[in-house]
Amino acid sequence: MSLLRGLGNAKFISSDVEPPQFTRVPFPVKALKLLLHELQTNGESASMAAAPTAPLDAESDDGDSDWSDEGKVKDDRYGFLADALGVGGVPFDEDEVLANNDDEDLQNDPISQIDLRVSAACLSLMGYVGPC
Amino acid sequence: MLTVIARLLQSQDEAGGLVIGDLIIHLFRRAGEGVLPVLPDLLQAMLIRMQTAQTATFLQSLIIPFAFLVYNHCDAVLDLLESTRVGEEGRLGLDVLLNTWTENAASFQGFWPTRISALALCTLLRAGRPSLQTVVVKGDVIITATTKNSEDSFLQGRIDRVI
Repeated sequence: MSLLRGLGNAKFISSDVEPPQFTRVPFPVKALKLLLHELQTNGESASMAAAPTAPLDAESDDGDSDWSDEGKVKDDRYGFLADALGVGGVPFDEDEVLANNDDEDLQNDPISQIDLRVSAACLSLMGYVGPC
Repeated sequence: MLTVIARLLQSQDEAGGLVIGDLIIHLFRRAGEGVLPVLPDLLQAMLIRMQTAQTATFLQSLIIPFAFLVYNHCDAVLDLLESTRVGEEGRLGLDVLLNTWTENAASFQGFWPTRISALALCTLLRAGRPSLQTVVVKGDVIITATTKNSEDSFLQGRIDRVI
């Protein structure tokens, strides 16, 4: 009975929902927006993206070499995850790397080695965007 | 190879996905000037197919070769696109390409395709052609009462599942 009462109050979703509407913008505006998004997510070259960053086991990264690892977790059961996702591994939030199915020919193409930030800097010089 | 590409473009089956794009890119990169005699017809066929393509991968296959050509031969490609009309409505080729490109650029797969797309967009902005300023493309979604309710329902559903 309570179920029927509940049904009486239910809102039914119509199947003919209006499709979402979009603003209309000049192409250069949209192109700049796409470029900014690309720069925010992955602007560097393929070789730079693949290069490992500084190792974690540096003697000291904050100038305090007396700091000890007293609280360091010794459990290495999940060490492989750290290897895969940590420094030198695949960035866990980097879809581009995970989805990189380019063939070897394209990976070695000069275009893959171009740093997009340099091209963006050129656009900046031309007054399209602010200083990078 | 051109026969295979023509057959894939004429077919309504989009199962070829990214393969056809890779095929066209390799053709452009390897054949060099040898492809010039058939280039206008090939690009026109790609623009026509772009208007009916449904899947993201197939659309990427049709757009990325244009991005490659824009990056390498910007003026020649823009000349062609500005003088090409496609479909029954006679839409300008440049309008078809730029609208399809900007609507799908965020979903491109692979490092090389996303990079050549971004570089080609830089090239277009640097070109500063008047025709590029007049093309209008899809921007952001307009939030109305309907779309807001849909978003609220979607978010509420997620919260309910989490709880």
